[in-house]
This record gives sequence, structure tokens and C-alpha cells, in this order.
Amino acid sequence: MIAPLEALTQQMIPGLRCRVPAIECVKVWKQYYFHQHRPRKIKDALFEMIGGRARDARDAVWALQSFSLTVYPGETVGVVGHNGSGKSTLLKLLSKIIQPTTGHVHISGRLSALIELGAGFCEDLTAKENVYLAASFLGFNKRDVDQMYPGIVDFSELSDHMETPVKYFSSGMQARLGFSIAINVNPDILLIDEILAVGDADFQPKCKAAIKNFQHQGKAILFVSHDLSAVHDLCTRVIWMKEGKIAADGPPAQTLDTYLEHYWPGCTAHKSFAKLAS
Amino acid sequence: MTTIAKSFRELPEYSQVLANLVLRDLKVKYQSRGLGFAWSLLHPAALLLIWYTVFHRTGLMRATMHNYWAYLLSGMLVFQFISSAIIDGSWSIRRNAGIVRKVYLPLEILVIAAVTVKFVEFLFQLVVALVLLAFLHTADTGASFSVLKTIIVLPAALILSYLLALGLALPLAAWCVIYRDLDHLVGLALTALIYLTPVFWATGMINLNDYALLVALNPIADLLALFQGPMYWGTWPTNPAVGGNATNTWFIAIGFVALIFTAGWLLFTHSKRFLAEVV
Repeated sequence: MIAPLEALTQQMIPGLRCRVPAIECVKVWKQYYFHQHRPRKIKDALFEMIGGRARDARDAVWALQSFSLTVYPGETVGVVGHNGSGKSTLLKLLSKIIQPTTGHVHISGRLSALIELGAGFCEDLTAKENVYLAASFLGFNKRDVDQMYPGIVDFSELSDHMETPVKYFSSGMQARLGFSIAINVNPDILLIDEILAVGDADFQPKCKAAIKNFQHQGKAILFVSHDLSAVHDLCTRVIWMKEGKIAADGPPAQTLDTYLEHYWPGCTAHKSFAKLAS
Repeated sequence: MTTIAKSFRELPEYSQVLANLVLRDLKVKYQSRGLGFAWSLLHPAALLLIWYTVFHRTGLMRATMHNYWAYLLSGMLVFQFISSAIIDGSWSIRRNAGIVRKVYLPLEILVIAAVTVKFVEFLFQLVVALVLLAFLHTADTGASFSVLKTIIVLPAALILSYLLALGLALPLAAWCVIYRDLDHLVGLALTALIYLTPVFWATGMINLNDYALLVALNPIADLLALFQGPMYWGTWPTNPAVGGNATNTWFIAIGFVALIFTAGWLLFTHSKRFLAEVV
């Protein structure tokens, strides 16, 4: 699936092949244990030690299975798929929060991620303090942030609330602030998880415009969303993830139609992204 | 080994994060309270008063010590620092789960930040204690505060206590993520440990019997000797539990700290890979 697309983009942008991929996943496997998802007690550990029972293989679940993906600068890759298909695991692997069981992930450039809407805010701190904290996670010192700060406040339109502790923010306001930080730190790679789901009518178009602007600067974006029409509008390529594997990869309309047709057979007869495009 | 090398290479890049986290904790803790930073003094002051009343005024301690309050003061602050740094440090990754799940950062930073916050409070308390001791704990003969010896010994003693607290907090922080009931045990163990540490009593003043070895093996007890020597006795640090001479005292204290810090760091590096998934 990738090959024809690459050929196509290379026709449009000669020399693309020589460029270093922004994101590269090579045969990544990620295994979770179910018992890791519930709190363990020392009691359990003692029983395991006495009984000699090792981690049960049946408890294991593979969130990503031999997952390979290459994203070049300039691409905006949409990721669609049902809950539990491995989308969030992918984003967490790319942002180094978790590490692959086998395989390797390579990132070149500064990466800014918005996972599950937040940017790791501390509820008790004010919005302003959180901007400085969040930016320091990305490697910026106080002086850098002083320069970026007006842009962040401007974009978020929260200038009246910057001295308010984030715990009094609505989830929409937190998302606004998170997105404003993520986009204003001038990253080379942007990972976005469901940002458009909470923004209000004003903010959504602004996000989309910012993402478009980002694309024009030739940066790489990975965009996870259940809003298929937004994915169709914004992305240059879409992958459909199913059970930790790539089920389809290609131009937006094509992948989205395959995805829809798989779960709701016959639905593309009425509403097809391919038809919409033409 | 590569993970350890990576962790050391990476940490300096996160110094701004560390500064922000420490400031965050101090701000959150003290800005919302009327008395502000004075609270960090009130807590040890109240403890001192209680212990002084219980152990001295009631005559519970048969051996009487000259300026018993000064003895309590010279040992309790270090113990309280190490104990509270272990408690806060072992809870630090769980407490910051919101950050750990959403952004990448070397998780050591969270533990270092928690221990550093306690260290800042400790320094503040120590300054006040030193002033009190310098003015009130004076005597022509017997135990008294020695300014010169304190100035010489204190920097090393402080560094050692910081490293000891961090070395103990690091693995506990990781295990507290994996085992959700561990923090109860940690609290309990520290409550018991204060009786094995010469805070209320002085080694050599009471008969330790079978517990002598336990006291000698208690790393906090060995560190306490470094503070109590110049601050209470007015001598160079000597730890009767390990034979009493100065070389032994320093050798044991430094050895314990080096061992615990290295082991703690290795254990943490070993298990930190999985923490973000489980927290």
C-alpha cells in the first residue's frame, strides 16, 4: 500500500525519498499483561514466590503486532480504528512514554504530543505555571518559554484565565490550553489524540487552520480521531488500525471507505469519501 | 548498563523540569496556608515539645542528659527529613500519574524532586536549629554546640543524608507503583525505625543488649552521629555503635550511603521501564 503512495508523492516532491523519516516504526510488538492493569498487592507477589507461578502467558495481550510505519516530514497521517485497536499505544510508544517489547521506534526531530487531551497538567497550578511546566517537559527553559508565552495565550484565547488554577478549567479549556502549548512550541512532529472532540465551535476551525499551517511548513503530523470527516479533510494519508496491525494504509478516501465498508457493509453506497472527493 | 548511562546523560537536560517541579510543590504546599513557610517549623517544634515532655519531664528516661532538648533537636531534624523524604519520594510517581501517563520524562526526576522539596524544608529548619543551639546550648564543661566543627562537618553530612534518602526513595517509588499496599508498610517501618535510631536516647547511655547490631546496621543511626557530634556533643563525629573512633564513623556512614544509593539507583533503573504502563 505504501509503495504507490510514495511514488506519487515523489512525483510531486522530487527528492523526497532521500529525506530522513520523521517517524519510523520497524516491526514493533507491544505486549501488555492484564494483571498490570489492576493494582497488585504484596500478597500476590508472595503467593507467586511461594507457588513459583510465573507470569501467566494467557494473561498477555498484544497491543501492537509487528507494526511498521514510516512517516516523512510533510505528511499528515490520520489513524482510525475501534477502541482497543492500539492507537493510543502507538502514540505512547512514539512519545517514548512506554517502550516496545520488541522492534524499534525512531523519531527525528522535536516531538510534541497531546495524549488523552492533556499535556500533563498539574491541577493545583495556574494555567500560566502549567505552561512553563509543560514546556519544560519538552526541553525549554524559562527564557524560551517567556518568548513563546504570548503566542500560547493568544492562541488559546484564555488570557483572562491564565492566573486561574487549572482544576477550575472545563475539559474544553484544558484541551485548548494543551493544544496551544503543543502547537506553539514549534515541534517538528505533532501527535494529536482526539483534540477536536472537545473543542467548541470557535476553536475547532482554529485547530484545523493551525494544523493546515503546520502542514505547509512541511512538518509531520499523526492525527488520531474518530471524526472521520475531519480525518478526511486534514490528512494526506490514513491508516486503519485493527487489533494492533495496519489493516489499510493509503489515501484518505480510500482507507476510510475500506474502514466503513468493513464495519457497516453497504454504507459506502450512500456515503462514500471517494465520491465526496470527486 | 546502557540504560544507566542513558539515564545519567539525560538527567541534565531535565534540570528545568526539576526546578519547576520543586517550585510547584513548595508553592502548592505553602501558598494556600496562612502561615506559609512557618508551618515547616511548627511541625518539628511541636514534635520537640511532645518528645521533651514525654521523655524528659515525666522522667521516663532515667539517664538525664544536659540540655536534653538540644540532643533531641540535633538528631530529630535529620531523621524527620530522611523519613519524610522516603514517604513523599516513594509516593511521588503515583502522585504524578497524570504527568507520567501523558508526557515522557525520566521518572527519576519525580523522585529527586520529592526528596529535594523535603531537603529544602530541612535546610530551613536546620538554620533555625543552628541559631538556637549556638545561643542556648553552651556550656563551659561537657556537651555544647561547636560552631567550627559544625561548619566543617555539616556540608558532607548533608550531602550524605540527601543521597541516603534518595537511594532509599528511588526503589520504593518504583515498587509502590507495582504493589499498591507497599506505602502502608513503608510508613509503618519508619515509625518503628525511629526507636532503633538514637533520636530520643544516646548510644552508650542506655544498654542496647541484643539490639546493638541492629542499631549499627541502621544507616540513619550512622548518619545521625555526624550531626550529633558537632551539634550536641561539641566533638568530631564519633559513633559508639561502630566502635567510636572518627575513621570508623565516617567510613561506615559513607560506605552505607554509597551502597544504598548505588543499589537504589540500579533497582530503579531496572524496573522503571514498565512504570508508565502500570501507574
